[in-house]
Amino acid sequence: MGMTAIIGSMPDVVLVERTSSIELAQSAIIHNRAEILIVEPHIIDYSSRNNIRNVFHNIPSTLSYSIIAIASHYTERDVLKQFDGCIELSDSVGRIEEVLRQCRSDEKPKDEAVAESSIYAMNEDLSERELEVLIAVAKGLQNKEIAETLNISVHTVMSHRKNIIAKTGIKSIAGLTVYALMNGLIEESAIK
Amino acid sequence: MIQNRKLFAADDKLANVVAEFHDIILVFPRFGINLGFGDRSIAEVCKMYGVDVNLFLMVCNIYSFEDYYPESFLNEQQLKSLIDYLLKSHRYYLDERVGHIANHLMHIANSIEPKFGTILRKFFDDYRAEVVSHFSYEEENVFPYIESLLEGGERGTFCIRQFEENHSNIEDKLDDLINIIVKYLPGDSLPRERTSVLFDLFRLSKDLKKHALIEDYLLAPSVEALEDRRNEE
Repeated sequence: MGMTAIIGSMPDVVLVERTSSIELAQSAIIHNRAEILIVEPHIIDYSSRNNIRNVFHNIPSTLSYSIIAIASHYTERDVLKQFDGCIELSDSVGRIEEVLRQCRSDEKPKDEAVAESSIYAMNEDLSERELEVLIAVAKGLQNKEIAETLNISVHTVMSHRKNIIAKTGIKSIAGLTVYALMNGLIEESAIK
Repeated sequence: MIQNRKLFAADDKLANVVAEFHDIILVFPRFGINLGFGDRSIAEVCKMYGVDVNLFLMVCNIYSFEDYYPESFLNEQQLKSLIDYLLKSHRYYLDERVGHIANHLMHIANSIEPKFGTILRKFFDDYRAEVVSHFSYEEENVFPYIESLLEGGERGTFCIRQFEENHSNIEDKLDDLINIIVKYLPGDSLPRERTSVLFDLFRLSKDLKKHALIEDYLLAPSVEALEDRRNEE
């Protein structure tokens, strides 16, 4: 049974997003209020593994969330210690459910007022694909480069861009970059 | 039919027109017209200040009616006056509006999380640089070309089509800035200043759009007609 199926079988848990991008994972916490992040520690660059929370530094400190490691390879104890929970490949379904529930009950109660005021006001209508295109545009990539990176046609990139303009109300590339920066989708250093 | 209303005419009382279409007070100083003109008609006020009444009417009509398009080309004297009008507009945008808005935005930028403040400042600084370069292109290349054309002097290789094809849009970014402040700027600091800067931005954006229309509808076609006349001579 895969993780998606296990999460799907838990009546009180919803899978918000499956993603291989750290940026989109942060976006799921910030914008969709995901409460738990399940991460394979090896996708995080070795040099950053000694400070896992810093990898997700776009997430405002007022949002509480848990990070669970899903250890499919050997991972150093010091790295694992930073996670709120750990799932091993050999764990039973029952054990995995227990880890997830444990993390949720550990969560500190949120101070709603503080949490509300610091939440980014991002447009939630953007699809995952549109977000990817938006991030690429904001980073300064050309249509052709975006098409190659995402393995779609230039025509499709343009139609995504048209939708992004319609949904965000922002036309210029500089404006879209500000949008992406303000919503924690990209880092200043990622701009070409 | 233009918005079911007749266009401005020379014998309309200027004060009545202002009461209905507030925005046109913006064009007065660019023509050198002062307020306090009593009950005089447009024609009388223009005569007082030595302004070409037809040019004044065309500019006011562009300002006030969405689908108005000027009925005739400008003559050479009117073109000269229009360039003067455009130069004064540039000065007004840069010296009065953009600087004022920049000051407001700095306050707001300083009141929010530094990371976002930096982003906001950079966006506006870049925008300001773009406006400056847009205007200097016109002032250093386009207007001198027209002046030399008017004087029948050397023309070089430039032609007004190049201006029309490259006339860049400086309003989009301003509209983006409005959207960013309305929808996405985090935090709730300085609410009154945010409202006030939004009104400034709405007005500047509208004003710049009209300014671009004056260049596209009045300036460029009239210069093209002048080029044709010169070519025939």
